[in-house]
Amino acid sequence: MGGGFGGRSGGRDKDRDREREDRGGGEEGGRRGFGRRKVCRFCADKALKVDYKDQSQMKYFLTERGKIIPRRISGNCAKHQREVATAIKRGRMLAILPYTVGQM
Amino acid sequence: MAETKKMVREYETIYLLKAETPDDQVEEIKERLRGVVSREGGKVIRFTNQGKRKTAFPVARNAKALYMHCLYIGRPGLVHEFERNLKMLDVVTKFQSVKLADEVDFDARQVEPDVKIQPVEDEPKPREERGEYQSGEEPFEGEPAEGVE
Repeated sequence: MGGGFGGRSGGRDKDRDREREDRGGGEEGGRRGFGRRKVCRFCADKALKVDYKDQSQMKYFLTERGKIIPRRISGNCAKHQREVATAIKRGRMLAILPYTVGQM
Repeated sequence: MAETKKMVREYETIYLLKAETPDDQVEEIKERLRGVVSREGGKVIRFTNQGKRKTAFPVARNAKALYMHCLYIGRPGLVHEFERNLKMLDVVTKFQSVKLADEVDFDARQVEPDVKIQPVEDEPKPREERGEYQSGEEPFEGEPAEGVE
């Protein structure tokens, strides 16, 4: 990916602002890898179903800390993000997915 | 007059048993639940034994649990009865039921044989897992730094 993470410690807000601009869909001066519009995985592949029993699939939408990754980052569409969120919560109830990591 | 189809709902229940539960007791619980479902006018499609798996957090002070999955069809009151029976069993530590479909034709749905899946040997750490998505799909960018106070 290269760029984008230059001032990680100080420039968090800057990063975020830049990302918001990118979501606007404008041409971002040819910077690759950062402004790419992400597509919803579930819309792109109709055969793919959100399944709370599938641990490996669901883990993709969790951070290392066990939080649900927001739509703005995962690129899911609203409908599928909702499904993913429900599925993660179901998985948590069955101890398939963690509520939190490293705070035991 | 055309016969009216018996329309029912499809449910699935996952229940967790203590990891040290002997096989014959697992079978016994299975048969008991099958009895409950048929008594209530439903039909068990299949049981799936998903094997002993590591849980994401300790359940009943145990890091592992035996996952059982039951797919069945029946009328709305059935789930309540099913769960009431699970509650009575001491070896059952957790359970959850989900409705999968409304309006399933009772007679059209065939009973399938029970399945036993070997547990997948877990489990790559999330951080390592990141690497797997490099082909075609990049890991998430700009993920907020967490745990930084």
